[in-house]
Amino acid sequence: MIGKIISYNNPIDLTIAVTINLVIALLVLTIIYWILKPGSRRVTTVYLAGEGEEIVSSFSPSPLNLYWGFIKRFAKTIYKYLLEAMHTGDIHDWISYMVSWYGILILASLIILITYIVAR
Amino acid sequence: MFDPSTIGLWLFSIIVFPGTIFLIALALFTQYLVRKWSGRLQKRLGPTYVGPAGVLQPFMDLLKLVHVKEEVVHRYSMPSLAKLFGLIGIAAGIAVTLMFPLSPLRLVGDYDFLIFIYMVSVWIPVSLILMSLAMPGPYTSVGVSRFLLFVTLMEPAYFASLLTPMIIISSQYKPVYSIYVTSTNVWKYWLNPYTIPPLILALVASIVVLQAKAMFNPFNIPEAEQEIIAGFETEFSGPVLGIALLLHDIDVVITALSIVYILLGGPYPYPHTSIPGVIILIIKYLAVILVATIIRNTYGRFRIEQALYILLKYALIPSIIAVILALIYIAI
Repeated sequence: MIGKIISYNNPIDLTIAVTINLVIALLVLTIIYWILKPGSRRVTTVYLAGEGEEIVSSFSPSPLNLYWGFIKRFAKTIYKYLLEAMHTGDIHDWISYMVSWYGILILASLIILITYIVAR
Repeated sequence: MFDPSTIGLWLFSIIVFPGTIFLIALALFTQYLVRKWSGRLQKRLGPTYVGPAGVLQPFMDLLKLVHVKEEVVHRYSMPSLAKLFGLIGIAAGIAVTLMFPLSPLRLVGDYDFLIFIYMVSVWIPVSLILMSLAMPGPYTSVGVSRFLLFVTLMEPAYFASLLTPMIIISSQYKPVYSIYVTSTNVWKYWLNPYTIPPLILALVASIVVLQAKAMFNPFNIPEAEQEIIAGFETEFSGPVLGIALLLHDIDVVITALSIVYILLGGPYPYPHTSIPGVIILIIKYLAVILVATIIRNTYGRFRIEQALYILLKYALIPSIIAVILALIYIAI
């Protein structure tokens, strides 16, 4: 077989080795970039489809805005489901919902326990 | 930890093969293939002018952006920081190539898969996000927001899909959860009827993840050309754009290589240095890229919540089922 295998018994040593790879690769890439880099730079305004800067309040988004799609779109259906199944205002709905999930958990733990006893 | 006699081979592996030079060349060639095949699927010629059959077009595009084009910046942007993050992301992709059996110097150890995931699923997407945030703008924010949503689902699915063969192989071979050991032995489990279902599920999930990581149609939502101008790339220009495109291509190559090696077994049972081994390896890589290109050209862009449900349905859930089936297999 061509090549060599370096085997690490300690994962931390391997992590350090891969990090050294990253640093060497970063140095090589930086040197290549410095050789190639262009000299000119042009300062312009933020691209706002022809509008002025005053139409936006901030150019850096807040963390909530970054997860906007998740919270307002994807999680909305999960929230809606919970709202309709659980938070209806009727305590019976809440109890039946919670009991059903606890029932599944108890059932799962019983199955795991029995499997463990039998397998042992 | 370091053997002085291997330093030359180590540097060769990082700088030449399969590190910096080879990986950049493969990334640009993969971009060429995607553009050329997309052109043929759309009854166009694709790249034709630079090099034989246009094969050097991505290289000249990169050289033009990094070397010739001027940097266009505004007063809120930090182009040096953006370039630094871009180069760190590319370096993270290069650093993990030494864990694949392709490398003449292979770094192998228990749980090296977790280090691979740390580099590929954390550093590369985070680098791309930080690059975008260093060049802020309203359209950039929307693009980054959409990309973060993808990361939320696609990276766990990527992890779970590659974990499936790791679980199966770690039950019989050591070191455990090792990319090298899994790559060299997974082909045996494609012949075992009990392990084929989890491997197929993991393969399907990983192909969907590749599509999302590459931001190819129908998952080209973070850039969403025209809808949000160029999304997270809106404020990129010149060298920053060149580095971002290279980072994206390297992400595609590393994901495709991980599918080819960890799930499909690379050239094995033949060695890399044999003709059947080389042919099998090239065919598997081209097949993965071809599937991604065909999907890219047969779908339109999804809405964000549609894309997330597709990722949940065809990537995350199948990959979790694959992991459960693999666990059942090793338990029995």
